[in-house]
Amino acid sequence: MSVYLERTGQPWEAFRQRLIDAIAAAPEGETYYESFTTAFEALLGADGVSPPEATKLS
Amino acid sequence: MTGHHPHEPSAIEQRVAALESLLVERGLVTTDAIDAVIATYEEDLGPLNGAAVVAHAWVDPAYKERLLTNATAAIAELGFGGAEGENMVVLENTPAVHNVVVCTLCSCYPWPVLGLPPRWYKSAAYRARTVREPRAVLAEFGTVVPEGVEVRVWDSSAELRYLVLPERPAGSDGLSEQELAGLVTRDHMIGVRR
Repeated sequence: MSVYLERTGQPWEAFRQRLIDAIAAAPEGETYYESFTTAFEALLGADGVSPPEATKLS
Repeated sequence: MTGHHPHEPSAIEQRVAALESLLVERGLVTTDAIDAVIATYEEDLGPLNGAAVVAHAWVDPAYKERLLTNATAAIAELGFGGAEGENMVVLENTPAVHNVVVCTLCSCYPWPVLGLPPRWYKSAAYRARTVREPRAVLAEFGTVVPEGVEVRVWDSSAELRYLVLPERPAGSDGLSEQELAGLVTRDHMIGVRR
């Protein structure tokens, strides 16, 4: 994620707000790392770099 | 299954691997760049940097003053800085005040001086309870703050990252700066130890 932000010239805040949203929306028992990954997937989706659906958790 | 993968990757490991593959395939990152970042966090960043800052402040009053006035610049004097450490604030513990740091919304943390945050720092329980019942949380870390000491909780953000300057231990007058640094842990600089 850090490499991607640097490569695309985006500030940390571009990811942080999505991380906050993902943590707030996380179902009971979801780990921080799952929320982190969800936030990164959301950022990539917004950037038009969609992650492969098959890898996402239902 | 190969020797490199003694167990089936978990769902989250598969998601992360898929994202990495996607970004590499699209040319948005390179494996060399990822390896370089990992090496930086493993070799260059971490609590040893923060401990060096604390120890230097303990032995050099002028440096301590600069650290408390403009932490980012003072930390840079020792060669530490960069991403997630651009806007640092150092909080001084005193006999009357104990500081503890949390990020209530996510996991903001001063990477250049503390490295990556520990798992518990990112947990929902720590993020929520540290604000509501800091003394109870500190007690669970084995830190009992006397009733007469004020506990101040600081909420990190993307704009401000905090580092706690613990009190210099009694009886440490004869120690060198390097020896003093050896007394300082990550938990002291987050504030869950006193």
